[in-house]
Amino acid sequence: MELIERYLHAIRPWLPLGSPRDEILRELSEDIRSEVDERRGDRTEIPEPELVAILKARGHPVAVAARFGPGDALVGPRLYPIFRLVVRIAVGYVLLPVLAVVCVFAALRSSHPFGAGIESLLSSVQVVFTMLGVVVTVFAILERYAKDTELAVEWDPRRLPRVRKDGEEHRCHAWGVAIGNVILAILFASFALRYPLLLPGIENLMLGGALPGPAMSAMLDSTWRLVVALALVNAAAASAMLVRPEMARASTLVIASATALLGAVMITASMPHWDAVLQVATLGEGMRAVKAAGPSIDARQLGMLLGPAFDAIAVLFFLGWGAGCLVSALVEAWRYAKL
Amino acid sequence: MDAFETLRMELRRGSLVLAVLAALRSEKYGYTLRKTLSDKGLDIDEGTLYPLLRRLESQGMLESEWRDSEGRSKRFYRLSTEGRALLKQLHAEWKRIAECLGEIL
Repeated sequence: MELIERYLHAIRPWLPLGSPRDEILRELSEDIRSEVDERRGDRTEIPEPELVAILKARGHPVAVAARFGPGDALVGPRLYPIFRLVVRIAVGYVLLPVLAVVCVFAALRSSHPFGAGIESLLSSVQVVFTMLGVVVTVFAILERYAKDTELAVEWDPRRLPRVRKDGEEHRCHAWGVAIGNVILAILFASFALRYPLLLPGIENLMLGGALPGPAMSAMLDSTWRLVVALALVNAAAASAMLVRPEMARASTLVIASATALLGAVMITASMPHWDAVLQVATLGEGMRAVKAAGPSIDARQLGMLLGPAFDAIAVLFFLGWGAGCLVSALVEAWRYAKL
Repeated sequence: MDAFETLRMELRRGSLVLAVLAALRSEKYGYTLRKTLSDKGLDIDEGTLYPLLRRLESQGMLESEWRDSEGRSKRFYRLSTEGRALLKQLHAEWKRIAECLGEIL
């Protein structure tokens, strides 16, 4: 009977959006079990080959799910499994990662990163839609002219993935990613825009205008839009995982890609300022001067004494953060492979 | 899909509603309903039957309830009062069409 659970589990993610999935699966489950009971007759258990035959006769999980969708589709249930696979490989695994890299490089190489990134992104959207159009057209033609026997999909219920019980773990992780990235986006945008309303008291933290220093300013200004966008992509992907747990695999792939890009952006932004790291040695000296000046020291003086050292810390922070993102991306890629 | 298959499907589509309503004059759950129709020569897959049942129920033609039977929870369907009246009308219409077609064919 575990095979039935796996079969139903494989159907679930392919059911149409907005359909009463639990109810459909409950009825399907009952339908299959009634047929199994009938075929079993007086025997205590139905042999596995017979159960496999029953499930195969019902059809591939994707085809069964597609029958619950609207009728008269361009690509019908018999071709839907192959169609989804082709779209997933062509767009999800090949086109989107390539276009993402192209967009990032276009942004990084331009003197107007935001404009260049958006322009590249819009071109990418056009490419994706063209590709989807070609795939849909090919499948619509096949749907219309190919015979059933030419489209038989070979599949075996015994090879369906086992049903996982670790949904809770995914939910906690998704919440963490969603909240963490929203906070990251807000903080990053606040610092980059020097916008005190989002961070009350930030004027004092700016040390009389000494913060952010030249290196920190350059890094913030060149990256903040991309960092905010990628953080929001991560938050959106994690939220999608929370709302639609069956999207965990796709969402994890998006999070892994966006986090890797985030890491690359941070490291690339910090690279031209590595010489500023040497100034971190001035922190001790600055602290001694601050102590000597006593409580009368104002924010501007404080900034002059500590500013260069904080600039160096910022470069190290960007570098460390970037490296952390790359490690996180690897962890996400590992999670993706496990799903 | 050849032309015959397409037209056959169209012909079946309308008849299925009538067959399902008629079969549900007595209460049945999904699988027994499928069996009943199949035994009478009208095969219907689950992807067609269950959405149809849901649609007819939302239109008030059917009533359903989950109940335990033979150790498992099953959803039983039956015609509603409104469904009975509609079935009567549809049956009359079906007979009229069949008579007309009989004469034409």
